[in-house]
Amino acid sequence: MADTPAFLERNDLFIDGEWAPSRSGATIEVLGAATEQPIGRAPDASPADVDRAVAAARRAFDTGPFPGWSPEQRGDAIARLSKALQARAPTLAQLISRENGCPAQQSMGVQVLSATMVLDLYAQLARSHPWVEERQGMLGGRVRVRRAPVGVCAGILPWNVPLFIAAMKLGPALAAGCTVAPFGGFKKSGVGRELGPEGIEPYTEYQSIILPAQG
Amino acid sequence: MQERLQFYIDGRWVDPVEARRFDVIDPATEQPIARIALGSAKDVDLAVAAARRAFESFSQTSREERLALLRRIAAEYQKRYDELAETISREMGAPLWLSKAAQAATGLGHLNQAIQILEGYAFEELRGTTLVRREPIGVCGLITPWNWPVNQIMCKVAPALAAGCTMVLKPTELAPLNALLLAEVFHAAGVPAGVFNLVNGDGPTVGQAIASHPGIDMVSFTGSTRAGIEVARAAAPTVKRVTQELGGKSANIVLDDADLAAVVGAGVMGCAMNSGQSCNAPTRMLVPASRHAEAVAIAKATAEKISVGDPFAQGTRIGPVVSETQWKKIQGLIQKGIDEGATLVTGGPGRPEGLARGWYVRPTVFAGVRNDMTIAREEIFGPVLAILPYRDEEDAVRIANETPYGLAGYVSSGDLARARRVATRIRAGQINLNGASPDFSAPFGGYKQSGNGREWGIFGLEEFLETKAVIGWAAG
Repeated sequence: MADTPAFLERNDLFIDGEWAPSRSGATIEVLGAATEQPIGRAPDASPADVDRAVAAARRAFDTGPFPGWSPEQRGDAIARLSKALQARAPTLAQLISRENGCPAQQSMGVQVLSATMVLDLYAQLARSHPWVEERQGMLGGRVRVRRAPVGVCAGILPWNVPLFIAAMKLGPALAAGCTVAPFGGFKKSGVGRELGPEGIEPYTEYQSIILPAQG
Repeated sequence: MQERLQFYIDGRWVDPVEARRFDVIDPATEQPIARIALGSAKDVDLAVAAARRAFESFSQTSREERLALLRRIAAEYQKRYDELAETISREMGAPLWLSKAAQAATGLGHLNQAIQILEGYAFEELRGTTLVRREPIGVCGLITPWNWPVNQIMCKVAPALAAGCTMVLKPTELAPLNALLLAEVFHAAGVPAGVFNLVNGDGPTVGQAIASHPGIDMVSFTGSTRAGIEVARAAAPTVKRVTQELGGKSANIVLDDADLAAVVGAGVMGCAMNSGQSCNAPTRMLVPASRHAEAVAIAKATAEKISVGDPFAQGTRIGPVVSETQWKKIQGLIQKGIDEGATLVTGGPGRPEGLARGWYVRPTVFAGVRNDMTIAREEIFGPVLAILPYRDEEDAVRIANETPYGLAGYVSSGDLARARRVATRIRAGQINLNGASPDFSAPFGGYKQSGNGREWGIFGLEEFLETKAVIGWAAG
């Protein structure tokens, strides 16, 4: 059983590679679902924080190296993320149980390993997905179809399987070469057909490059 | 003057429940040529109810049945081809040569694409023990514009039919007659009652009713960015899928190793085609600063040879723009170009000489344009070209991408590998290299505020399909 403190205080948001408090200083008091008692505190991001996060993600997408990483590099990054989460799995399972009331017995599988399995899937798909295809054009020429990253993506997460949904968004977004911001929340989100290659679709734009006939 | 006051609902021509009259104006003469009815939400209700009823059976038809239907439609379309082309020229001003060679031709092109793709499309795929099925999304609201009217109707209707969907179309009220003719084509081809419905109307009434209707599962909209935003807003409470094909301000990058004489000339003609009324028109020509003067001279000479006139006259290259509203907007933007310090090379405000009536715009070229000028940022939708000098390839890519739009891009270079490299850096949905011929199987659609979704070819079909996973379909 992991050893998490009875009251966990997290004062900082993770933006542009750094931890820093919310611009407004506001915090959210987190109540344990089983006890109705405070179990921790988290920063409550302000619109100014969202602006910073989006600006950082924009910069990273427009000028940073990540979108230019090869599919293999992107896959490796996602695999590393999965391993890092697996290393902290007991802590994560316990924390999520405390927050949303999921029984501790189920938490490891339902809440944490489900997430790392999704990340592992996308680590593989990043390498095998047909990012570029050449197809026969209608009039005899050739068309190269690229699946290009859509850009800066915002993810809004629910509380029921929070890490799993985070993985369902981060996995395909990163596989596609997108940058992500912001990324936390207590709002509802719908779970779509996100598993598998279809999951990558919303994070990609189709770009057709029409090659001249003699190309 | 013809009166076309009825709508096509549930396989019949019916009187509107509640409508007002609206004149269709010939932009070459500024005179009314027909009167239509602009319907209400009640008319949309009837059309949606018919489409909902028809969906039950039409969604269950076989691939072969739908192929036979599409082939019959193509045959009926051919019979009315010339009449369709003439109708388009008369109601929106495209010159007859363009209506015959392109406007009406694209309708057939999309039909043939739909047939080809439906023949081979895999609606089911077994992945392990899970079956992934593609099913028709349901009742579709289609809202189409006046600039390539038949192109936009058929690039939606053909794949929607192929997918097994039923639909309610609101064509543009500025050029509705070609849509009414298409309804007759579909009827003659035996499209089952309720599968295709047509209600004329304006955006705020019929468009709004379609976008917000709980009985409609998805809306496919082509038109202005402003109207596309309103459609999405109206559709949000019912969580419809909304696909949007909106505006553009596409860059035409002329690299320093391109054949300037050929490429600049073609670029001017490309921008002016259909009087500049194409969402993917190459309206920002990017040329190397060191060859700017040379490019401007070629552009001037080319633009001054464009013959503007009556759509039905021999030798007319471009006709009028579609309406007084558009004409005034274009005039205002031309004036803005002058006011903001761009160099007016040729053309300018006012009608071309010798044309006292009709919404004719002078083919206009601005040079020395900066990317922050209004004429470089806003879609003009007229035969107005902005030429922007750039320092180097990096600068050209930056300028091309510094726009809220992202529909098309054009790259010309003597080195195909270089053109390809630049193409992959442009944030736009369809890039054309070295004047390649158009391809109706290639995905067409926008990045950023040029829209969501892709049309044409297999991409068009998939916009009208939902995905279903059946887990445990096969034994483990």
